[in-house]
Amino acid sequence: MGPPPHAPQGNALSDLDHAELVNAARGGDRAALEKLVRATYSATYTLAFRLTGNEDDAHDVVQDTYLRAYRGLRRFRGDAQFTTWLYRITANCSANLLAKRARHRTELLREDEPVVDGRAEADPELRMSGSDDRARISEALSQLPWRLRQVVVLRDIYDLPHGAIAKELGISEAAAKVRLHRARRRLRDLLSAGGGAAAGGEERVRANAG
Amino acid sequence: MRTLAEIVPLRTAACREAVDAVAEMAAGEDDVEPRAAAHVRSCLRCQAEVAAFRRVLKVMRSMRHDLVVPPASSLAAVLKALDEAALDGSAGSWALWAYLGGLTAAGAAGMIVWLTLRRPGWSQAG
Repeated sequence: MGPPPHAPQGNALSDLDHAELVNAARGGDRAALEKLVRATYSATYTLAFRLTGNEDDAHDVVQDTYLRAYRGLRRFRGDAQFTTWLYRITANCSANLLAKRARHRTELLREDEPVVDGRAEADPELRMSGSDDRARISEALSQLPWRLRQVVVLRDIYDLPHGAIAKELGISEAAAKVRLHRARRRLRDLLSAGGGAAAGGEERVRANAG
Repeated sequence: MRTLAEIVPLRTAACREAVDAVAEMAAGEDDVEPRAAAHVRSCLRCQAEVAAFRRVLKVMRSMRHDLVVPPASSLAAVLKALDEAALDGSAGSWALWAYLGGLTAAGAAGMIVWLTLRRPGWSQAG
């Protein structure tokens, strides 16, 4: 397999640009709506992919997200960044999709996560180095149960507040924090055990637009 | 060269109880359980773990800007779905106006008939 293609990076817009496009799209400007979607698409898809773990679900979540955003555009007050608003809708759509699926397939949350050995060779920092960091963390995240993956992705990658995460996932803030603790413990275990990129999973992160 | 295990004491029961506090302190969260926080501040092992997890979090925060390339067909499908939703919305609003217009016309017609029937000439003629 050759090197992965890079995501388009020339469509980044400022918050001001987003606000102007949102206003135009609210007024029925089709071109503004399309520009808004194109400008945010890769980031929204990336979050959906991280939350669901596969392309098909990510596509369904993104489509649902943009339809809901389009219908709710008039309710967007502009007191948050447009991208943050989209991320919250994406989180909610993803939670709905995965919860619906889980009703057919039980996925157990283990209550008694083992605490790993504190040996130096098990230290995540010592195991992680250089360009492998992202790959190892991505792989470790993909191995988390989806309920745990959701909270740790939204909190530790996207920096959403606990309250917002709880609201979009339809759980209490206390439950969101408990899940976050479990997720971080499991993540640490996976990184310590070398269960990251060393497990041979395909690295999905293809470009750094930052 | 000495390993970290030789330098830093092994994890104790208190360290295990403070495992969540380690992550919270690394993340800079301000509602860490006081007893666990006090242990972390006094324990070299836990402080090393705070530093290690802080580095993991730093990498994770930077991953926000790592974009996954969507399949080529995905964006087109979403734009098409939005076009269809816009058309549905237009059709829906046209139908609503047509419905309201019909109601208004029917109401006006009913009012005219009622007023006409109330005229004295009509009641006397009947």
